[in-house]
Parts: sequence; C-alpha cells; structure tokens
Amino acid sequence: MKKFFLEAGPVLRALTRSRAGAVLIALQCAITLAILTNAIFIIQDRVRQMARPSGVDSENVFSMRVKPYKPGFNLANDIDRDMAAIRAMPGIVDAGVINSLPLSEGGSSGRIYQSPDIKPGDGQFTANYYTDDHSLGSLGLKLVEGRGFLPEEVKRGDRTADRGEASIILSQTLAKKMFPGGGPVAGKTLYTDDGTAQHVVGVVERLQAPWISFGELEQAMLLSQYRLEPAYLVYVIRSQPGQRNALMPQVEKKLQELDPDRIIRSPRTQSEIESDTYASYRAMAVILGTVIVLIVAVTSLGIIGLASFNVNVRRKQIGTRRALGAQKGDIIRYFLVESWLITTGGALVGVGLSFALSWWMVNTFDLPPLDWRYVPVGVLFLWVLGQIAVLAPARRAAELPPALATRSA
Amino acid sequence: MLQMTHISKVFRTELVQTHALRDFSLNVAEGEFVAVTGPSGSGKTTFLNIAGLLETFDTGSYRLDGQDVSHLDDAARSRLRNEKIGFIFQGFNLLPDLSVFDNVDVPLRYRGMSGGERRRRIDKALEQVGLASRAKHLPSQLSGGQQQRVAIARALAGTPRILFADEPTGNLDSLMARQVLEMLEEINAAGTTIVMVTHDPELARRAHRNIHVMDGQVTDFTAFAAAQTERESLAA
Repeated sequence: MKKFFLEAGPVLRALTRSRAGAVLIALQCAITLAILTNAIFIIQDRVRQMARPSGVDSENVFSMRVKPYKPGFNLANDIDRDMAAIRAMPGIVDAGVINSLPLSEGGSSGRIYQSPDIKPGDGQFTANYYTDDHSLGSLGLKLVEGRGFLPEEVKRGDRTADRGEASIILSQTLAKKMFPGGGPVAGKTLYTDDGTAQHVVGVVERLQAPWISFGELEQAMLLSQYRLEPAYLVYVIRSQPGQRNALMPQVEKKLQELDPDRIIRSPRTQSEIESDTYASYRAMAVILGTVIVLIVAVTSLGIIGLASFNVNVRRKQIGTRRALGAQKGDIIRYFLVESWLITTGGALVGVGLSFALSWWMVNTFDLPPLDWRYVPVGVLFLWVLGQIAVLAPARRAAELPPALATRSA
Repeated sequence: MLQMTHISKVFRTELVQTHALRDFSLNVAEGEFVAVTGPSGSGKTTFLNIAGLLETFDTGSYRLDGQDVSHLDDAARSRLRNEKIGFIFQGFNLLPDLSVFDNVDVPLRYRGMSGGERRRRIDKALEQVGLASRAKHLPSQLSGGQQQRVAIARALAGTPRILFADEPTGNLDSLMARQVLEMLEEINAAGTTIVMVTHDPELARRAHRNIHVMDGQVTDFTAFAAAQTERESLAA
C-alpha cells in the first residue's frame, strides 16, 4: 500500500502533462458518481417505501365488489345475509364491509380537529374508512388501545349516513399527531370538517391511507358508519393463513348462489392491490437500475479503453521500465495508481455534482434530499470499479518483455 | 564480470526458425571496455539483450558478476537488472512525460530507496553529466546529446557494476557523439565495466577490446584483424 501511494507523485505529474484522455474519463467518472448516488438513493427510498407495512394482514385478506341489478334490491338485507354466509364458511376468519382499502388508490379523506371551533390550517389530514363492527377482524388490524366497534355503534343508510356522529378508531400515527401529549386516547372526542363530533374508541398499531402519494400515508381512521350504495362498498374477507387463494373462488361462488341477480366484481387479494399500486415504484427502480448498470458499464469500458490505449502507445516505455528493473507488479501498480488518480479526480468533481443533482431533483420533482452517506460509498465504489477495470490492461502491460526497450518502435 | 559459455538463442515463428546466437561464448573482465561490432542481423542486439537479462536464452550458461543467472525467474532478473546493470539506449528511452529528475529517479524507486537517498544520487548523477540545472525540464526540451546524458545519469545513479550501451551515439551528431564517448570513458576509468554495441568502427577503436559478431557467433575482432593482416602480407 505504501508503494502504491509513493508511486502517485510521478504518475500524477506525468498525467498532468498528457491529460486529454484522463480528463475525459475523470469527467465520465464524475457524471457516473452523480447519477449512481442519486439513482441508488431513489431506488433505496422506493424500496423502503414499498417495504412499509400497510397494517392490513395482506397475505390473507381479499376483497370483492357486489353490484345487484334486480329492481328493488335491499342492500342492507343483502349485506347481512352475505356476511353471515361468508363468516360461516370454514377457513374464514372474518368478513365485513368498507368503502375502500389501504393502498387501493381510491377512497375518502378529510381533516380532523381537536375542537369544534375550527380554524383554517388546524387539524390533521386523515384517510377515512367507513366500515362496520367487523373491520378489525376482516382487515387483520392490530388494536393497541381501546376496543373495536360494537354492533350497536354502526350506522348505515343513504348518502348522508356517513356524515353523522360516529365512533372512530385511529391509526397510531394519527393518534400521536392529534394527542402529542400522550396518555389514553380512547374516550376522547375529535371533530370532522363540519364540526361533527367523532368519539375515539380505539387505536390500531398501523393503518395506511389508500394513496401512496398521500403525504400523510400513515394517518387514517375507521368510522363506524357507511353508505348503503354499491359503488361505495367493498366486501373485505380474511382467511386463515394459507387458505386465501382457495377460498376466493368459493366465496365468489357462494355470493353468486345467494343471489344470481348481481355482478361480483374485482375479486382481488390485498397483496395484488398493494403490488399494483407500487408497480410504478418497481418500474422506476428497474429503469434506474438499468441506467446504473449501463453507466457503470460505459465507465468501465472507458477506463479499460484508456488503459488499453495507454498500454499500446507506451509499449516501449513499459519495456524501458522493465529494463530499468521494474517487476511485473511495478507495471501493474503503475496502471492501478494512474486509474486511481483519474477516478479520484472524477470523484472530487462528482461529489459536488451529486449534491447539485440532488438539489435540482428536490426542487423539480419534490424528491427527498440525497442522504450524504451515499456519496462516500459511491466514491469507494468508483475506486473499486477503476481498479477492477484497469486490471486486465495492466496485466497485459506487465507481460510485455523488457527487450522491447532495445527494439525500434 | 561477464562469462557466457556456448549460449544459443533461436527465435521461432510458425514458419521459420532463426538462430540469433549459436555457440556464443564471451568473457568480459571487470573494468573492461568492450565494443561489440557486426553487421545488421548478426546477433549483436540479441547478445546485448541476453547479457543485460532482457531476454532469456535456450542453451548454454551465463554468469554475471560471479552469479549464475541462467535459470533465474523474472523477478530475480528484474532485481539484478535494477541493482547491477545500467543501460544506455540508442534512442535514449527517456519517459517523455517525466521530468529529467523523475526519469533518473525511475530505477531508484524500483530499488525501494528512501526519498533522501534517491535525491542525493539523482543530484550527483545529474551533476556528473552536467545537467543539474535541467532537472525540471522535460526530455522534449533537451537536445539529443543532453537526452543521452540524462540516460547516462539514469544509468549511473544506480551505481551499476556493468553498463550496456546499445549504439549510444547512433542518434547523435559527431560533436555530441564525442562528448558521450568521453563520458563513457570517464565512467569506465572510474571502474565500471562497459559493453558497447556499435556499428561505428571509430567508436569501437576507442574500446579496450573489440568483439566481432557474425551469424550469431563471436569472433575476437583484434585476432581476426591480425590474421587478416598476416594473410595480406603473405600474399604480397
């Protein structure tokens, strides 16, 4: 290692005297570092976001929509009959109704306040899930305080049915935002936009909103009321572990048998819903990953190309060095040091470029700022890349015979 | 200092074999100044390459400074070149992107010397060839004669036991050539053995002994010339 750095002085002086190729490769390294650090940071950020649990027992929950078309259907009766039948099926843990599902990209939201005396800018954003007394069981939510809804608390009716006073269960994140002082939350009262009182009966560990672009994704609440309109209702069912895929068609069939005059729509697992919602994230990760692979490949080829060119034009010089006593290792070291200096030069520019690119993306695309720790890791990667890329041409150079020193050309 | 016995070297391609040296034997004593002459393709450069450990040979044996170097590996040969041998090439072989100072420094770095010791030796060698003031210049900023003097300084800095010069004045005008030759004579007078390959009979005459190489075999040129003179006088 000491020899490596001792060699740096003369190599650097030589580089400054014939710098055209080296400057171009250094520039390429700088751009690579900037793109590499930001792209990996974005991918990691997306992966981290995708890994956040929704709060729902995704592996065992599935859902479907039911659209009756027989004139004069009674949705309340239909729901009660359907739910009773589904819950009675072997392998079913629970079933209920809800207006939308976490990460389904469709639903309801509003603001919630600590006081009926609402001032603009007060309160917290929240996703609203209108549901019944089986919501905890059918979604598999984990209660950390209080209780679930009681049957007598659930209100349902026409289009105004979801606007009245109700019991609510908060996500833990929302509970902490609403009551930053801590302490028990169950029993407290909050207020919706129109000043209607909502009574907190419980808190669940986690419950995500339907939209991944929602700034307050972890802020959501369940309300013990729902509107009796097919377009606003989803049947949500939770199976015993491992039985979801088998039960889905059975439930669909059962519902069809109970009332053939209706359409059973969109039977989907919660895993599918979440996966589809994150498809754009995965696509971005794949595209950025491809860009990273390509740019690393191009940079590697650039380093290999420059080193190969240098080996070819310096054949006699290499022969002379060998004649003067350089061992094969000395020749390899020379090229490694040269590559290290070029990548280091590129890295110095690249560090500034990385933060500049991040700053631009923060301001243009509203992305989170680059975590600085990615930059030293990127520099380290660039060094390793430079050393690996130059190794083959350096070894070729080391194999040149010392007798080249006495040959013309 | 240099003992080559029955050395042979064959260059092989897919189509032909060329006997560059055959049954080549030569002794050079310590402190000698030997000139090796011969026509193009006679094997002079092959001899120099083998003698300077730049190339291996097929058969025979070779002792350099008392050490059998016939079967050394590449690393050991590199070490010996670095520690015991100095080279002066026809085309100077300076590294164009390095300053005069750094050029002289190259073999010393490979020897692993300390910075202070290297600097002392470089300054002394450049002083010796009269180029101390040009230490920061690039080779391209020097004349041919000056470049060859830098090459001599590079060879001298390592205090070699033997100096191999390959047509050292081949690329120089007569004035420069004379200066370089005088420098070599001074180096030899100071005790360094010199083996010089040259085409130039004038240059060869300045050496202690001339070796003539023909078709890869060595002839003692002095003896050859004496025999020639004798044949001519008998014919007369």
